[in-house]
Amino acid sequence: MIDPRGAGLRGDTADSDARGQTPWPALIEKIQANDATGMEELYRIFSRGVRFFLWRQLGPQDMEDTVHDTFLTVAQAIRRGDVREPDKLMGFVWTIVRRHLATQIERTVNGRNQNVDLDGAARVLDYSPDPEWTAIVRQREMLAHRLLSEVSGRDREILVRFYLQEQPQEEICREMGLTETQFRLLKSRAKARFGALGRRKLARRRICW
Amino acid sequence: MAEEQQLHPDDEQVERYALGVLAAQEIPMVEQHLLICGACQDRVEEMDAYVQGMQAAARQLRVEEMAKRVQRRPKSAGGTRIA
Repeated sequence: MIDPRGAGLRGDTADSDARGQTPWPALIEKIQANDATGMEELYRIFSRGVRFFLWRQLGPQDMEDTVHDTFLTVAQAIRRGDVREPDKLMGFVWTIVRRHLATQIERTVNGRNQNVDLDGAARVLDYSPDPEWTAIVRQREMLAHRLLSEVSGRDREILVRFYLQEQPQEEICREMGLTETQFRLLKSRAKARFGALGRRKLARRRICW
Repeated sequence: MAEEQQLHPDDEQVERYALGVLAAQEIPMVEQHLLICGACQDRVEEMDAYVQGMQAAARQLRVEEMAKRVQRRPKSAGGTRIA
């Protein structure tokens, strides 16, 4: 993990008090006292993150219902006194989100009569036809295709092994005669090139308009 | 708790998370951080887009390479390609 002061990054969702700690105990007290501002604050802090996880794992299907159910579950648990360690509210909310995700995935999978091994990376996205999303996905594929076509055969082999064949870094380095630094540099350049191609495409579109 | 909030995952962790190969013991800390950090959510989304694009493009390139190999196969005397 990296220190945001060094990386220049800051979490932009949760506020902090002067000590740099989000006042979870105060928030819990508000919710337990049925203070409406407590629920508003809970939603403000966590709603983007909850949506992020739900979208990433499930897509848009039933998003709003699941978001609502998640916050309802958290608020009810807080009012019941289930959050025994107020400082660990974030971990508690995360556990609730994971449970709701697992339930939704199970429902979706059962609905499709498929068996899925649920792990942290399992995604059961709703591939409902959405022209805009389809166009975005196609765009990404084209940029990546161009990137892979531009690099040398050896670099292409390395990237394909890592991203498509999911070969571990250590194996790739051993078989292709790379150091870890060389491998990371190649990946970093590829990602930067992908970003640059995307920005160039966007700039061209703006000119055309 | 403050530590969990402030420690952003590094680029390697973000990539491993996007690829679904982040170590199990790292997932809770990373995901709890992602729950409240918009900047890191954006980083993961950007990495997701890149990884998915690369995977799709790599598959397409493999198909194209196979098609080229089939085209290059010598034909038999009867005009059909030798398997």
